[in-house]
Amino acid sequence: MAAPPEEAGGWRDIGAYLKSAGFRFAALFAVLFLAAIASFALMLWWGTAGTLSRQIDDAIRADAIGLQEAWRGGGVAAATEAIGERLAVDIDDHAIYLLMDEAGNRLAGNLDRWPSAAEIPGSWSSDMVRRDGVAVPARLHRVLLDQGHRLLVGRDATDRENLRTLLSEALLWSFAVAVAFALAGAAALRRVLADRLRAASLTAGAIAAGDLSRRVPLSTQRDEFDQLGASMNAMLDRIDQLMIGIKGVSDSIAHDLRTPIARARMRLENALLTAPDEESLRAAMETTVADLDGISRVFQALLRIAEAEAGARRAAFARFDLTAVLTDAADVYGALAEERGQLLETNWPEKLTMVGDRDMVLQAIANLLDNAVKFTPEGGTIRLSASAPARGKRQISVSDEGPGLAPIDIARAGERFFRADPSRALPGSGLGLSLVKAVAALHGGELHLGDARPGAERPGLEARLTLSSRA
Amino acid sequence: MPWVFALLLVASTPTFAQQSAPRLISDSPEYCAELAGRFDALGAEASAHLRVLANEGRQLCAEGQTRSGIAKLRRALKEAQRGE
Repeated sequence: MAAPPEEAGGWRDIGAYLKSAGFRFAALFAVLFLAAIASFALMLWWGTAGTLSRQIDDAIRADAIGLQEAWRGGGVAAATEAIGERLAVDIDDHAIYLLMDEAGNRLAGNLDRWPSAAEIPGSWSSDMVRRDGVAVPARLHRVLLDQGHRLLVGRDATDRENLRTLLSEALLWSFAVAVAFALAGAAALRRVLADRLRAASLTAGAIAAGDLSRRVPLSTQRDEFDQLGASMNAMLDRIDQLMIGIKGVSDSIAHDLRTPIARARMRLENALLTAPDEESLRAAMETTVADLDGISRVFQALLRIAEAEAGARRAAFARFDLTAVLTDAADVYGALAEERGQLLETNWPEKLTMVGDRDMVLQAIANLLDNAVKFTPEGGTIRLSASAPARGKRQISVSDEGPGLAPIDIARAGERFFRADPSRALPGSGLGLSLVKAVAALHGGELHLGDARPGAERPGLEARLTLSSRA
Repeated sequence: MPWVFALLLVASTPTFAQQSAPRLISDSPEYCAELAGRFDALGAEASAHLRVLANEGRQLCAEGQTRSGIAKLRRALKEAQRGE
């Protein structure tokens, strides 16, 4: 028969409660607390009742050895006399002796007959004996002598039993109190955990519901929960920034690519409708293909930036010689600069190795040189240099003699599709520095932009790319 | 609930095993006399103080306070033994 829904819900609640981290932490606390109490009780028992038991057994053992020696020295008479002497000076009245012959006749001692517990195998036993009609506990040790004689040595264990009873009662009460404390402590611990996690849980719930502005409130305690909350907030801030970035990129893509696509479409349409001959149509198509190549390059650049930011290429990192990369870049852009009447000056040490993605680093240097060539006027000088400013660091510097960047533009340079006003008239997509920044981040470094010649009419731009040589 | 009372009665009475346990006989007047004899056997070795103690023990045994009497005689014998 199926359980009623509310009953099933109740069992589900109990199940969820038992599986909750709060309950498990609380249960662990209670178990550890009770285990500590049990260990303490065990040590207390061992140190008191246990010690007393061992002392009684030691006294009985020593007594029995002494009587056996008397037996070996003088037989029944000596043993009887030794027992009599021991009993005569037993002020505490705790000693128990019984010497019996082969026929079961009592020869000496203060016990009227052989106890039944002492008949069973094993030389040690615990039994009851009667004193003044009252049964009292006794610890007994049986020794078999020659000629069928038997010796029983024992002690009244009333004191030990009293101590055990007292201890048992005290420990039982202590355990009951400990259980109460453990349960109360566990409940308090569970409540504290639930209270401290509630804020994070509510925040996560609100964010899941779409409110990305919510953050985990932090207390003044600066404990592990606050650290977790702070980490969550930092993560949420980062996600927020990425969301804003994605939105910005989406807007930029839509804005920056709409124009060339519309232009290409219009050109094709015009050519289709108005081209007088095949040659004009072909020319229009070639121009359109070039436009589409430009769009393709934009997407390619976006993909490379995304690839660098994701760190996906880190697995392909290898050691390479940075000077060879610089030489390759200088060869290409030196020729380009020469064509434009510019001079490219280079300066780097003979060898400069690092671990990283060679192609990405080459692309970053190429982007910096491309900008420098683009903005430097005819007759100007572009400087490409590299050095190792510190152990584990590599620095690549590209400076030009262009108009430079205003401080407000420097702050935004590196955003995808950002282009400063003076550069809008020149070809470009606004993704070059974005890729350089992403490559710097991929290699544990940074991109710093500043004036190449501070105070000059045309201050130029110096781009300093610092990379970690160990990645 | 008569069975509860029966259970309590059984729990509060000495068990058969306890009733049949061996008996200590070192608290009898005979043993008191045996100890007195042991002390007398010491003769002149015992000091006056110990003789007083032993006599007190004998007196207590005679008055029926056997355990107290035995305890005094044992103390007298023990101290005499120490004196040796």
